[in-house]
Formats: sequence, C-alpha cells, structure tokens
Amino acid sequence: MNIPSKIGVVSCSGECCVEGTISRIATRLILEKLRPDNTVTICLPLFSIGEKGERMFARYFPTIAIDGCDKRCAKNAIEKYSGKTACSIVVSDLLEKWGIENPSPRRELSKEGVEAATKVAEEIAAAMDDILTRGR
Amino acid sequence: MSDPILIIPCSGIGKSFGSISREAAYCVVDELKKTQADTLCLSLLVMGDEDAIRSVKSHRCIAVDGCPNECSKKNLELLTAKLAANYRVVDTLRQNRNLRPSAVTFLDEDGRKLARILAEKIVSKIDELNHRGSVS
Amino acid sequence: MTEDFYQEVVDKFIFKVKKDLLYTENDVWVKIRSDGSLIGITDFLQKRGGDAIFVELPQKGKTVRRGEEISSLETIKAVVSVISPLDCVVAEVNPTLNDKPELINEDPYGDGWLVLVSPSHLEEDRQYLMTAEKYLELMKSKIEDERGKSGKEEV
Repeated sequence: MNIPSKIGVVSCSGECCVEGTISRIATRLILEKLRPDNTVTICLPLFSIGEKGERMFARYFPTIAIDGCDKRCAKNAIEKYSGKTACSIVVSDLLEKWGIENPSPRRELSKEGVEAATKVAEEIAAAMDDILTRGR
Repeated sequence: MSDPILIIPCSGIGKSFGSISREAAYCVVDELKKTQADTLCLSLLVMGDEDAIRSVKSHRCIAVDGCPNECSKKNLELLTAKLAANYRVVDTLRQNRNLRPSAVTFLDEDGRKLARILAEKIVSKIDELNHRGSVS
Repeated sequence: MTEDFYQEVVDKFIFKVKKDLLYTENDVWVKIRSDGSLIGITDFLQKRGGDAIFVELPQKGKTVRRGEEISSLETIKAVVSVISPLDCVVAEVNPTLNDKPELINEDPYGDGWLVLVSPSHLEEDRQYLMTAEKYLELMKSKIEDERGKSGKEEV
C-alpha cells in the first residue's frame, strides 16, 4: 500500500458566490495552520493553462478538490487533466448540512464566514488524515 | 445603458497577487461600478461551462491577473472572448513601490491599497469603453 | 532530466540546472564565452526569491570583485543579492529587464541573463566555480535545508 506524505488541495476559488471565497480561505487555512507539512496547494488557474509542475503533482499524488458549489469545477479540472481525485468536498453541501445560510458577503468574510471556512478546513483535514493513514 | 463589462480575476491561490486581483475585481463590481460591471468564475470558463463561455463571447471582458503567468488573460484568449483590456497586479505594484503586500489568505493594508489602486484603473477603463461605445 | 537540463522535482516544483554552465555556491551561473562571461541567477534562486518586481543592474564599465554584489532583484518577498562569481568589469547589461523583469523568473538561464562581464582573473577565479553536476547536489541539499526549516510547500 502506498502511503503518501503529501496531498494536493485544489480550490475552485469561484468569485461568484461566498462559497467560492470560503473554499479558498479553507484551503489556505489547511496550508498555513492545520496541515502545513502535508499540504501542497494546486493553483487552479495555473493548472488550467498547463503548468507542468501543478499537473504532474496532481497526477502522481492524491488530490482533494474543494468546490464552492455542485458545478465542481476544481474536481472536474483535476480529473480532466491529471487523474481521479481522492476526495471531493462541496462547500454548499456542507453549509446546508450544518444549517448555515448566507454566512457572509462574498468579498470579505464576516466572523460567521470565517467560522464556516474554519469548519470546512477541519473537514478537509479529516479527509487528509484519512488518506494519509489509509493510502490512496 | 451598455451591457455590463465582465471583470475576470485570476484568483491565484499561491501568492498575494492572486488575492489582490480578486479584491480589485470585487471592488469594481460590488462597489465602484455595481451596475456596469459583473464578475464570473474563471474556473467555470476553464471547465467549459456553456453559459459562462457564451457570456464572455457576448460581453466585453477585462482580465485581472496577479502575476506574469496571465492565467485569466490566456484562458479568455483561448476561448476567443471579447477581451477589451487586461491588467496585472504586479505592474501596479511596480508603479507603487512604497507598498509591500505580503499576506495571501486575508489581505493586509498594503494589499487592500494596491487592490484599490488597481480597481480605480479598471474603473477608468470601463468609463473609456462605455464612452467609446456610446460615441461610435 | 532533459537533454539540456538536470531536474529535481520537489512536490509541484521542478528545479532546473542547465548542463553547459558553471555555477557558484551563491546560486549564480556563468557562461564563459569568447566575448566575455555571461552571468545570471539559477532557477532555484529565482523560485526562492519570488516574482522579480525591479532589477538593479550595474553601470557599464563598473569594476566588481568576486564575492561582491553585482546586481540585486527586488521581489515581493525580499531583496535578492546577486554575488559576482568573478573579478570583472561590466561590459553589458540586459536591456529588456527594466521593462520585463519577469524574464528572470520565466527564463533564468536564457532571456533572463543579467550582465555580460570582462573577467580580470578568469583562470584564478575558475577554481571557485563548480560544474552543473556539483551544483545540482548543492541545490538538493539547500532544498532539504529549506524544507526542514519551514516544513511547508513554499521553497
């Protein structure tokens, strides 16, 4: 069994809605605070224009896609250009599950928005731990 | 009144430039030019969303990139969008040497200032494009 | 590895070392030519430094000693000092870097060259230069050291 040490986390960072902002902030929180030693962020715009390093990493390491909505742009981009994602998280689904409605303006997260992003980051961390212990 | 101009930031997640591009776009569409500008998720375009692609082909677009990789501009060009102008945060930084944005996740004061300066340039361009449109 | 480069892949970063150049421990490359020596910074240093915003280039005719600063780059992260690999006199500087400093990041071994110099003591200074193979090993150990300090993906 192949136990990875690094996981690629790719966020949609969609600008249209607050869920995109939350996906972005949650991904940054994973990198900066929750799992800094195991996280490699994949920049979706760079990935989409064919940046070799981003695409190669996503091909050979497990990836987690964090999407704002069920259009799942990040997941679909990774699977189109590199390979199947190990896990897919949709922020709007999580917010609905938690009963969180309209958490924040999209431009700058309010306190509630930051709390929501932190909860999403904890979900991502749990998914990462699962991959890191069980393998791909 | 002219159709809204679409402001498409790169929202790159690895550098402060990406966050600044995003904030500049929001500054324009949510504050300075609410009725004359709108934004659209770059990730939707990357994934070939038909509605998004139709929008960028039928509306004038302004790409707002963080760094010289120019991911937003390149994606818009690939789609033969109506690209009216493009801006790079790094160029605005060169013109404002006193500013030293460093934060990526939550913009610091210099990051906000730089985003504002860039937003004002974009607003001038929008005015120019709309004036040109009304004169011709 | 490609024909022209050695490569070291670390997470999503591909660090390149061009084969036909000489290097210093300060992450500077030298190409010795009949018209002088061309100098630039390595892929490792440009990645570590970040996006070049401004480049300070020396005046033509300036005398620089080996080990002194010959150029500097201002990036969003820091000011990166470029240490001269040779005792030399500056013959030419890259004129495109004023308008396009990003060439240093995009093509550090090619269009991102910094200065062309006339070496004063080339044979003596050569002993301080290393081959691409040796620099590759040095670069790998620097990368390991950086990762050990930060633990994060950033170089």
